[in-house]
Formats: sequence, C-alpha cells, structure tokens
Amino acid sequence: MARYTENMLARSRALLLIPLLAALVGCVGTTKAGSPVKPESQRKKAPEFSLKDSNGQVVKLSDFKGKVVLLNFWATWCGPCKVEIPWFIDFETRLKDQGLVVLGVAMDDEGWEVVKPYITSKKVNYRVVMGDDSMANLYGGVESLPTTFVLDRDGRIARTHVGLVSKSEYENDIQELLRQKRASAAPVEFAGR
Amino acid sequence: MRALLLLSSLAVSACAQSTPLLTITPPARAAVKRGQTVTAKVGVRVTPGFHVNSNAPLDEYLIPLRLTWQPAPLELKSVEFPPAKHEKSDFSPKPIAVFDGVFEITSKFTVPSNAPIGAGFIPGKLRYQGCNATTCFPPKTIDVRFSYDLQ
Repeated sequence: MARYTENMLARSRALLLIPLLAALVGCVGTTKAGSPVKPESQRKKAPEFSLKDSNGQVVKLSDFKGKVVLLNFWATWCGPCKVEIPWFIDFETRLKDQGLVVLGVAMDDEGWEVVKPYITSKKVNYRVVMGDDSMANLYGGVESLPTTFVLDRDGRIARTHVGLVSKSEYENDIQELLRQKRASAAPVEFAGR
Repeated sequence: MRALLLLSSLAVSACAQSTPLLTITPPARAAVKRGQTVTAKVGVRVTPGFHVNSNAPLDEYLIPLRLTWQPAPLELKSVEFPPAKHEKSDFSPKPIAVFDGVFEITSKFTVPSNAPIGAGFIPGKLRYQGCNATTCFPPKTIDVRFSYDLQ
C-alpha cells in the first residue's frame, strides 16, 4: 500500500514537472519565446474537424484553404485566455484582408449557454466554435488553456503555443506566415479525422 | 461486511490524493457520539506557482471551489473556507479571490439522536479549477471521504 502510494506520488510529481518546466522556460509554448515558426519541412498537417459556430453553422478547417489560421483553444473560466481575446479581435480586424483567420475553440462544458453571452459582451469579431474532448484529442489532448496552433496557408501547424504568450509573439508568427507563399497551387489537404 | 466497510473506508481515508494541481488530505477518522457536533477538515495543498479559485472567486465566469457531501446519517451544518487571497488580474477589472499554498476546508456535522451506532462514512466531492499566471487546467472533481465511528 505504502509503495503504491509512493508510486502514485512519484507519478504525480513527474506530472507536475510538465507545467513547472513550462513555467521555467518562460511560461510559453512548445517553442521557445522569440524563436521562429517551424521550417516548412517540419510542419505537419493540422487535423481536419467539423464543428458548429455560435450561429449553428458548420465550420470546417478546410473552409480556410489558403489562409493563415490562428486556432485558439480557450474557455470562459480561463483567465489568461481572456487576456488574449482583445489581441485576437485586433488581429482579425487588421489582418483579415491579408489572409488571416482567427478561430476560437471554446472548451466550456456548459456550452453555448455560457460562451455566447461572453463572446457577445466582449464583442468578439472572429468565429468561435464549440470544442469537445474528441476535438482536443485530435490536437494532442490540449491539457491546459490557452493552447493556440498557428497554421500556415497550406493547413500545416507552424507553431504551437501552450499558455499565454505576448501579443507581439503571435503577431510575429502571423506576419511571417502571411509573407510565405503557399507551397503549391494544388488544393490544400487537411489530415482526415 | 462491517469489517469490509471499515477496511475500505480506512484505505481511502488514509491516502492523500494528488493531481498535478493539488494534493488533498481527507479528514481524520472521528469517534462521535449522538447529539455531538463533529468537525471534518479537508487539507488542501496547492502546487507552488499555482492557485485555485476560491469558493467565491468574484468573477462570474470563474469556477468556484466547492466541497459537497452526500446525505448521510450525520447532518451537514456548514462548510467553511478560509479567507481568500485577492489578486489583481489582467483580465478582470476587479481582483479575483483565490487560494494557494496550504489551507483547510472545515465541515461541521451534527449527529442525530437516532443515528445508527457503528462505523460509517460520508462520501464527498471537491470540485476545483486552477491556474498559474499563464495557464489554466480544466475543472476537476475528486472524491473525498469522512469516516467515523459512532459509539
């Protein structure tokens, strides 16, 4: 029994190291602060999904062929997520015409009942879809929020941020990806579900 | 059967439960008598660098800390939380109320005059949601148990 408890505690301590290490490296994502987006050769296709937005319309990742996509997992109970929302509203306003799409994936268990009033009150101008565990699993589990994937024009994951990062870091990622041409004129393929 | 109940109760109540965000220590087993008021303290240790929302977090969207007990022969009188720490945040115009470090949640039960003599336990649930300055974990509920011997 004591050994079992010790093992459990050891496992818990090991689990604790993940967020603590993240905090030690500057509480930023899976890439170091200030580092560039992944080289094109190292980018993997983002998984395709089909989810409903606040108006009940189906949104698929493949709807955004040729666009740079900021895919942000968030929730109304997540404070750091709320810090980012005004930034994303600004990006959507300024960079939409250059080819950026901001897409929020709300992870609230209570669904639209809590999310809709929140995005209305904050005047969120980008599309928000309702996420769930299967969507989170598609993207590697998404164990903490905010988690944001920055996708290039070919639907590939160019950078992943776990936790709050600075607005300028997002902007640098987006501007770099907006400057990059699509790899080919062929239709963009997204990884199937 | 009673011995089995006692054993399983001892096994659960003796173990602290850990998650990446916190460790809880269940209330100590209590010897109680009819007509008494009994106190059950749940110990909580929040991982350094993190906090959990208080029972009244001062922001309507934040998920409060909740300790609930199932109906039992012992009657729940109150669940008391310590004073919360008020922290400024970048996302709310007013401070939010949080707990961090080590604290206790105190539940008080009264023992009715007709409560059955013998060993028993009260199952409970602790629901919490926590963050650090940059990251939040989804809300989670963990089981707690208050074991007693009614003499």
